[in-house]
Amino acid sequence: MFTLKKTLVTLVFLLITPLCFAQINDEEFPGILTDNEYVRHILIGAAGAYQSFYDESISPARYEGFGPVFSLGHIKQDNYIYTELILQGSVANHTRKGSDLLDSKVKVYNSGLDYRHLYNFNLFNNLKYYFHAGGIISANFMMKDAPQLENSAKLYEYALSLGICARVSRETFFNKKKGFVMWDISFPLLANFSRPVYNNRVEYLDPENSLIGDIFSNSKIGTFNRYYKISSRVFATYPLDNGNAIRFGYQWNYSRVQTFNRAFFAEHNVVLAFLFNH
Amino acid sequence: MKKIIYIALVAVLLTSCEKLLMPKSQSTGRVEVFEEIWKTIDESYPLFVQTNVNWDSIHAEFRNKVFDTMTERQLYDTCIDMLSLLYDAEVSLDAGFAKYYHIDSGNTPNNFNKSILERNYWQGIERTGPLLHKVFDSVAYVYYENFDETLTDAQLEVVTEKFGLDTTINSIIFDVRNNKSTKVENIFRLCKQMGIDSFFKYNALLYKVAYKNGPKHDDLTKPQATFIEQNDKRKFPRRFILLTNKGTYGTANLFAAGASNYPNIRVWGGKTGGGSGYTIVKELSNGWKLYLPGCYTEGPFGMCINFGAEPDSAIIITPADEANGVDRIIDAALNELRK
Repeated sequence: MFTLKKTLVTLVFLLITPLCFAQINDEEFPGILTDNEYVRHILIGAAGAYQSFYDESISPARYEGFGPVFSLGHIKQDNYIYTELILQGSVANHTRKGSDLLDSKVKVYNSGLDYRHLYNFNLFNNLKYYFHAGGIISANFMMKDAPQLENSAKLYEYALSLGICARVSRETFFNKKKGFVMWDISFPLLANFSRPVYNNRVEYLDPENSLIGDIFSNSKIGTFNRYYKISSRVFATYPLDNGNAIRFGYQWNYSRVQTFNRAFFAEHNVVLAFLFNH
Repeated sequence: MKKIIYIALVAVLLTSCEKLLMPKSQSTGRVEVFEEIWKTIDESYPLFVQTNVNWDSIHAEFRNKVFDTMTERQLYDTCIDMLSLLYDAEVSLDAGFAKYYHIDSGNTPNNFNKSILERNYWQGIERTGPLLHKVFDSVAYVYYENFDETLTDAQLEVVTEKFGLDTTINSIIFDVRNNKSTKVENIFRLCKQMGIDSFFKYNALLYKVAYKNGPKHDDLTKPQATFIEQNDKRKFPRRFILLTNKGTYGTANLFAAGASNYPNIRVWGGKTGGGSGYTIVKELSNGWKLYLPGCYTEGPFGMCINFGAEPDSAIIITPADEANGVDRIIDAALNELRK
């Protein structure tokens, strides 16, 4: 029953985000074409994030926090192919409900590098809509620092995944300017991931032990029953006169990792980015 | 503009839906917290095999004493009564309003009185970094109070050079009594300079560590050995007596156990206090912190040292010695090294 409720909530998340933009007008995406007839943009963005996690290696309680997110990327597209490389990093201070006499703070450093490679499938007869689908290669690294846990304080999480990605976009019209609205979703199918071993131990008593070595020696390969990260994004792109653009949107990430115990992480980002045409 | 505000509102509202996707925080009821403590120890304490404690029967005994209507203080008192049956100084419970430690209530003498040392032994002593050092006639003396205080190679070089340049010095007393510490880096720095000479062809086994790797009581990794390999560092004087007492605890306990494997070193004084310096901390659903040892450790001769390592020569400082301002352990070491 609880699984069904979870599934329904996930579907609601995924469906609501594109509906948010359903009433926006259309037109063609602008930009200066390269010799090969690509439109290319460099993306620099910032976001505010609300995050929450439930990590059995840290606590049987849920932690929540706010923090900034910064992103840097490159987007290249033509009529057939859309590629996007985005590096994103965030830091947030998390707390939980508890006693004032005991520290319950966790600092979460989260970074991700996503490469999306999508093809236009021309599914819609109406030329204002586009459907792209393809793959995503994603690398994520998260470090949770809970100093109150002393020797168990540093908790790493790494995942390199290969998955599928789909994107629906629509030409739009903002203040008589041609713009673009898109919603995409990605889901990993296969991942190489790593979390600390039992009791979240770090072998400090061995002088030759290295944390980096631990991360890779503990890594496992699994499918979505062991690791998944749903990423759902909806963006409106507002074009400027010189081919540059401003992107505004909302991104929801939700991940779950299962090793000897479980870790859940959710993130809501409200994103503002500048796209430099080149 | 209205659309943007609408979107922002939807995004904010969606954040509250997150709670349906993740597991709920565990209940903080008294019984649940008691069970959580018992289970955490049951699945994560690495020394059940050594201590022969019947943890299941302890659960049966204490479960009947816990009720949802009891106060937080009553729950804490019941839990520390249960934890005290492990007789382990590395097990503690921090409830914010109080923190429990196991204290050895036996009659083991402390074998250390700093005020006597300061009054009668440490006149003219010098400090280099964390090391206090002086020379008693031809015997060098070093006191290291806490391995958590960083010792650099340069500081160590100053001390070893001082003793090395004085040709009358051929022996050393190294005092690590009342050294409660958790860091290992300085141990290895010291151990590299504790050999017979700069070219000794000898790898010293210091200790072995086995970590918990599963919830069963005997789920432990294979013991991992830690060695000091031969090196060309300048060495302390060859004749070496290490002083320990029950306050030699944590990584200082590992140091004492490891040093006993050097052929030129004798350990004198009292049994060490135990511990490995590696505790793990578990946060409970009500925010309390439960501390427990993270590993099983054994000395170079295969004995478990989590509960202390015996010296080669046990010496006791009696109340009469203290009344007379005498540190019998240092005196005995000086007499031996002056022979």
